[in-house]
Amino acid sequence: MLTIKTPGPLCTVQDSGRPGFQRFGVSTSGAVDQTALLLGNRLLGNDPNAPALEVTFGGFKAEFSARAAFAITGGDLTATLNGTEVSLYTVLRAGQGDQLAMSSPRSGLRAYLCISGGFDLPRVLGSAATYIPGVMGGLRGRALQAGDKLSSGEAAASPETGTVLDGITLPDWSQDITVRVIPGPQDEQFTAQGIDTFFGSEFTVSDRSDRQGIRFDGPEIEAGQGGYEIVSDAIATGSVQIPGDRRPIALLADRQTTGGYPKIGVVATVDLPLLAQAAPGTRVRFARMGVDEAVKALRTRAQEIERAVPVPPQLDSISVAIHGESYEVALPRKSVATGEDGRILAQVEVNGTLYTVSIREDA
Amino acid sequence: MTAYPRILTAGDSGLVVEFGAEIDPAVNRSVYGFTAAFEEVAVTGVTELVPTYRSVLIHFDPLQLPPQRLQTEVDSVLAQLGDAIAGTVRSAPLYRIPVAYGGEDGPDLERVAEHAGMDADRLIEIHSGGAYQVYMLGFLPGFPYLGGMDQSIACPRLETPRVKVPAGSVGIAESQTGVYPADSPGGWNLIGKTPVPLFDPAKDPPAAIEPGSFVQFVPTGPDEIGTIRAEISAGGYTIPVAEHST
Repeated sequence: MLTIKTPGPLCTVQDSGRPGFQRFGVSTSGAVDQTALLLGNRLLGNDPNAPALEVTFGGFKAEFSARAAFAITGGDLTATLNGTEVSLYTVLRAGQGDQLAMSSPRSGLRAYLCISGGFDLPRVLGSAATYIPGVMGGLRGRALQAGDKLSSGEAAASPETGTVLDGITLPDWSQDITVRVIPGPQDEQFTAQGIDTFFGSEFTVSDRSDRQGIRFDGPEIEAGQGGYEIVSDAIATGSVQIPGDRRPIALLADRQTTGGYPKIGVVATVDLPLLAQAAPGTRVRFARMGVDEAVKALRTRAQEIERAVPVPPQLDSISVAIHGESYEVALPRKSVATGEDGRILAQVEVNGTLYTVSIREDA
Repeated sequence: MTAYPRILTAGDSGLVVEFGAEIDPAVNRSVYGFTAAFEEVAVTGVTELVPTYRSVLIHFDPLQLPPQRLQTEVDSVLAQLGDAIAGTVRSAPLYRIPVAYGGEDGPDLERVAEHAGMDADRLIEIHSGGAYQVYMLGFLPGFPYLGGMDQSIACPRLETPRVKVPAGSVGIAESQTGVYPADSPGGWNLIGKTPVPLFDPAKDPPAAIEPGSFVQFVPTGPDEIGTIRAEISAGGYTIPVAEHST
């Protein structure tokens, strides 16, 4: 029902990831910006884990071969449907032959194309997430290519076109960002000066960044006697390691499960989506954060996401023609287009006769 | 001197329990002793444990399990295990992996033997003589980091790595031995190959040998390799396994 025309630099199927197998060397993968994926699925009434397309940087074109409700979340990659720009974080509808494109980033780096019912792909170890280094998930474990066809699963809800999320503030990715980092587990391997450099300098996202990690250009971080090596241990998402070139790398969804470089800190979970959308060239500062503070911020964000409920489009009034006269009829501030034929929306009295305004869907 | 075990912060959703700073069989035994004991407690909010050479990373959901409470749970398991943790006699599976040594399957065998100052037969004898401890899996899905290779057969990595090392290849790099679970670029000296698939994402668990177990390589002739290959194709092969106590 969706045919990829051009995938752009990297387009993969992703969901909330594949946890539980890191001890076997299997990365968690999944959407780099988990919040964007979650909000897209919530808009559509999907399972929060429903597979979506992660489009990176733009250069993406696809054609719908059947009617579908969909939403685009995450970075603003200038999305258009049949050449007309469409809103992000909004339920949209496409018909057969409609052309969807995402050309180039205005802000952010990764957009999520979520579809009603989610993309229908086999689960590997419980997930449809594409993990390219391990050749698993998605479509045969690889990035999408021109000509690939994807179909959607059965929809749990029939979301109304124009529905938006109420009560959610989205980060501004067009600005320089400050990412909060919790020191450890190997912060003691760095000198006091090294720690000061890390928390006190500006770094730039390098173009050698990918789903495994973001590399930063910037000043060198000084290690102590232990140097830039450790006996390998396991790696949490958002870990910031300092390898031999002394510049930080923040490890993301496709990171290796173990590694031998010291980790100066780990990005607070609440700030991972910020990092996920940091395009090459973005200037980044790291700010120290405590664990308790990080959990508190995460809880606040989770509650905000929980409250972000889909709101169907609203109308204040409609014009109704009765016996050649036009009347403006006020409507209750709630759903008007539920698709339920015959539902009464409002009533209007004309010359002693009560008329009802109701929905009738003409096929 | 750092006192072990110790607990380290790995962000707001990770806690490291570290048992040492070295690659050491006893430290690694503590890692797996703790992992088994902590999993038995089944703490709600813990998403997964990743045991490695010298520590365990506990991944958890801090909205379900406050970090302080997790730390209390860890302390309590450590207190229960006490000093016994490293000394515990632990029984773990020993997987006997059939290997075709030399020839096309092990193009570097002769050279590695020459480097070690012995003939190929002697090298095979030494390499297949020991039980290797699976310290951890990592680098690639199912890639085992094996400990305990006899240092007399150590050999430097290739100066130019191969673009493609076939899955199942058994190699030596410096003082380590290992086996590639999938086709991959690699700079290890290849001395043999096993027909046994070590990683299959269609299975759960996906890795044929689990971290914390032991591996022995068994020199196997071409006829028997052929038979094993046929059994694998028919879906009727399982790796011979014995109990190994440490």
